[in-house]
Amino acid sequence: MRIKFNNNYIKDLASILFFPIVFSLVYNFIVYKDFNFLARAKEKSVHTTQSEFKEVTIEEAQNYFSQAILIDARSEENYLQGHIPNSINIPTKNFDNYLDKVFELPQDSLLIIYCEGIHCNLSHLLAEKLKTFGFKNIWIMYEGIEGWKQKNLPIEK
Amino acid sequence: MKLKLKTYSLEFIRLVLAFLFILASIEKLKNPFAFALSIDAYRIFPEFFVNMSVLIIPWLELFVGFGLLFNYKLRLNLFVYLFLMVTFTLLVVFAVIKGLDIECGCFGESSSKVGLKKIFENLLIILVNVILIRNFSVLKKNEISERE
Repeated sequence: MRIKFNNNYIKDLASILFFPIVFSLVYNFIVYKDFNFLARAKEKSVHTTQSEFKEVTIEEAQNYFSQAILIDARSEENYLQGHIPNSINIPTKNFDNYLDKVFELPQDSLLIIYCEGIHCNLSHLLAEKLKTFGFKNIWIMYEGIEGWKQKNLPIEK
Repeated sequence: MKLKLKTYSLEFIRLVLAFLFILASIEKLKNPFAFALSIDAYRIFPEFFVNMSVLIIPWLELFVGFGLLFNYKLRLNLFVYLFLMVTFTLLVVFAVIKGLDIECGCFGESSSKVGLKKIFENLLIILVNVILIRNFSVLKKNEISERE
């Protein structure tokens, strides 16, 4: 009796799971052909971001580190937990309290901004704000600190 | 009269929960890539798992939502609903503890940020869900069931 109950329960569960799974497989196969959503999403987010700022990889950015100012757009807390050496912290969310730092930046210098990784938009928001202060050379290192860590590059605390 | 009020409110909650899941699933289905990125942003899942979630979760939500809407195998659908909600909530709690500044991905692109607010929202949904499960007998008489 008990076994029968369990069987029914499993059968019911299977019937509830069966249709979503079949539908999802069929639908996604027809619409998207393959299931590498994440890989394609990353590719997309890098190539189709409608950004007026130049987006550079870590390697590209590194070539300009000597002449650029590296800005960490994350919060103070995250910055203190670990940041790219020689970067300065201007938290996007606390921008107004960092105005003195902004005024210290030379107007014509190249600014390279990064935040967490490809998911975060703090860099873009900061870039927008800095643009209103007259900075023209703003790049975004879109791989962020996450990409930096993945490449085993040094972190400063 | 009192019983009627109880029945109506339970039925109302059932419909609200149903629409919530249906809405959430449609938002996710509209842009699976955004959904993939938001799951990946939790940074605990391997790529394969992210892809599988993108594949299955929206459809599961949609079917469970319709199950609730049409009162089909209600009890089981409610349990699946509960399971999904608890999983999502644990993820959000995890993200908050880890201090991640991300969107929850709950409603595809139009999601809100993870945070205490989100946790409370989810807990409320879970609470309501548990109330439905506990008062299942009230809803049961209208249920469509194959075996009965």
